[in-house]
Amino acid sequence: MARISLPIRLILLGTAPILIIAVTIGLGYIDISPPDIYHVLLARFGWPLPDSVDPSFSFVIWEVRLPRILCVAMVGGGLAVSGCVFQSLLRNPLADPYTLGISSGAAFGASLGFVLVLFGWLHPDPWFVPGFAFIGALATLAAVFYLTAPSQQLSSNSLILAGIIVSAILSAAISFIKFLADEQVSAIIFWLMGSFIGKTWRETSVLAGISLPCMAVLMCYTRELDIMSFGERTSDALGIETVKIRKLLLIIASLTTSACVAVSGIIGFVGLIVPHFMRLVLGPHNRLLVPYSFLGGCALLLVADTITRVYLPVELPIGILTALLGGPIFCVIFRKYQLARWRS
Amino acid sequence: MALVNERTVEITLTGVTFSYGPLPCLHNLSLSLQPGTLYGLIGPNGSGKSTLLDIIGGFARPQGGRVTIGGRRLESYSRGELARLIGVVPQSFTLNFDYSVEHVVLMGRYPYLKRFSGPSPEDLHQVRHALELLDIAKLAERPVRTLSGGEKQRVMVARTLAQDTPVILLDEATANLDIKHAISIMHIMAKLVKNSSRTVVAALHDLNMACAYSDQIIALYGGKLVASGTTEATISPALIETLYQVPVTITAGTDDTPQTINYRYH
Repeated sequence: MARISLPIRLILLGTAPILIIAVTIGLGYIDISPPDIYHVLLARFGWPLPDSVDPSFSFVIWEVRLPRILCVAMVGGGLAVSGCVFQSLLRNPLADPYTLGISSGAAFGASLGFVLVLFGWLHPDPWFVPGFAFIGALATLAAVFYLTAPSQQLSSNSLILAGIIVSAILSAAISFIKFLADEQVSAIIFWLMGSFIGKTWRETSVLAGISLPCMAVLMCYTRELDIMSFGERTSDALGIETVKIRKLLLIIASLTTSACVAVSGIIGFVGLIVPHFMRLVLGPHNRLLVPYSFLGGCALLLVADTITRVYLPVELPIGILTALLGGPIFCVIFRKYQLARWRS
Repeated sequence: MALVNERTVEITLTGVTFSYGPLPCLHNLSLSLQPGTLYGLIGPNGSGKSTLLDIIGGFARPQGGRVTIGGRRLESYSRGELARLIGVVPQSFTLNFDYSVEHVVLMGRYPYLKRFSGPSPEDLHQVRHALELLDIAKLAERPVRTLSGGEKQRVMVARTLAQDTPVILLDEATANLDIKHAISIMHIMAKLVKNSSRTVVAALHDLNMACAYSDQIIALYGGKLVASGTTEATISPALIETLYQVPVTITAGTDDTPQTINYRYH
C-alpha cells in the first residue's frame, strides 16, 4: 500500500464508483453494450437515438437500472459516511451506523408497518414500510438521547450503552411482531435483510433529498471530528462547543442512516468496514475520510448489488452479500495491518 | 520566543464555591492570578486542585461566586474565545486513531483557523517552533499512538504551546515524565512566564519541582485555600504537614539552588 502515493490513491479510489456505475449499468438480464448505453443516455438530452439501438433499452436504463444503481450508491455511501462519523464521535473504532440502535428502530417500524397492513388496519401503500422505518429509527434516536441526557455530556459510553438497551428491547418487540405475522413472516425477514429490488426514482430522489444535504453538513465539520476523537476535554479546551456539535453530528449521521435503512432495509458491515479500510489507506483525517468513505461505500455496495442482480440465479438479500464479501476482505486487511504494527 | 499573542490577562476568583452533587469540592475560594507569574498549585489528592483548574478553564461552572478574566465574567466568553486565552495540558489522554505528531500539534492552532481555510504560514511556524522547543521535531511524522508516555506528554505540551495563549494550565502535566523531561517542560514554562508575561498555573505533586519553578504557591486542602503567597514565604514544614500529614525538613535555597523539601520516610 505504501508504494502508491497518496494523490494516486485518491484518484484511484475516487474514480472507482464512476467506473463501476459505467460498467454495471450495461449488465443485467439484458446485456447492453457500452455504445448503446452512450446513445440511450444522450437520447435523453435530445440527441436522436440511432435505429440500431433497441428502443426498449431506454426504458431499461432510465426506469429500471439507473434509479436502482443510484439508490444503491447513495445507501452505500450514506452508511459508510455515518459509520465514519460515529467512529470518530463515539471515539470507538467498533462503532457503526447502527451502534445507537437505529437499525433496530427502523426494523421495528418496518415490521409494525407490515403487520398493520397485514391485519387490515391500514390500507396498503408503498410508503408505509419505509415511512414507518424512518419514524422508528428517529424515535429510537430520541429515546437514546433521552436516556443519556441526565449526564449532560452525551458521553460515548452512555450513548453506546443506551443504544444497546433500546436495541435489545426493540429486538424482542420485532420477534413478537414476527410471531404475530405467522405465515407472512418471510416478507418481514426479507425486508430486514435488505434489498434494492424495484427501487424507482421516487425512493432515490427522497433519499438524495435527505442524505446529500446531510453529507454537506458533515463535510463542514471534518476538522472538529478530528479533534473530537481526542475526547471532550481536549476539544473543549481547543474551543469546540463539544456537546452541541456532537449532538448535531449524531443527529445528522443518524438522519442519513435512517433514510438509507428506510429505503433499503438493514445492510450491515458497509458502515463498519468502509471507514476502516479508508483509514488504513488514507490515514485518520476526516477531511479525506468523510468523502472517500462515501465513495468507498458506493463502490462496495454497487459491487454487491451487481452480483446479486446479475450473477446469482436468485436475488439474495444484499445484507448477506455485503457481510460475506466484505468480511473476509476486511479480515485479510486487518491481519496484515496487525502484523505490520506488531513488527514496527 | 516568537510570539504573536502578546495579550496578558488577569484572572480573579471571588468567593468561588463548587460541588459535585452534595460533596463540596471548593469552598469560598478567592484568588487573583497575575500575568508574568508561575503559580504552583499544591495539595493532597482530592483537595480540589483539578476542580480549581476546571473552573479557571471554564470547564466547570461554580455554583457560587464569580470568576473574571481580563475584567469580564468567565461565562460571557464563548468556547472559541476562551481557547485563544487559556491552554490546558492534561495529565494524560487516550487516542484511538493514528494522527501524526505534527497534526496533533497543529490542532492547537484550531482556535485561529477559519472553517474552510487551511493553516497559514504563521500557524505552521508556531507548530514547528513548538515541536523544536519540546525536542520532538524528529517525531513529527510518527503516529502519536506509537509514542511512549513521555513523548505523548511532550506532544500535548507542544500542542498547548502552539495554541499560544496568555494563560496555560498544567494538570499534573509532568507526573508521568522522567526527571529530564519534567524539568525541561517546567523550564519552558518558566521562560514563557518570564519572557512574555504568561500566566501559568501548574498543579504539581512533586513539591521540589513546585519550589524550584513557582513564583507563587497556592495550597489547597479539603477544597479550601490554606495558604498562598511567594514560594519562599509560603512553603514551610508546618504547611506541608498540614497538607500531607508527612513530617519534613526544609533546606533553604541559595542563589543557585531552590529550597528543597526532605521527607521523613517511615
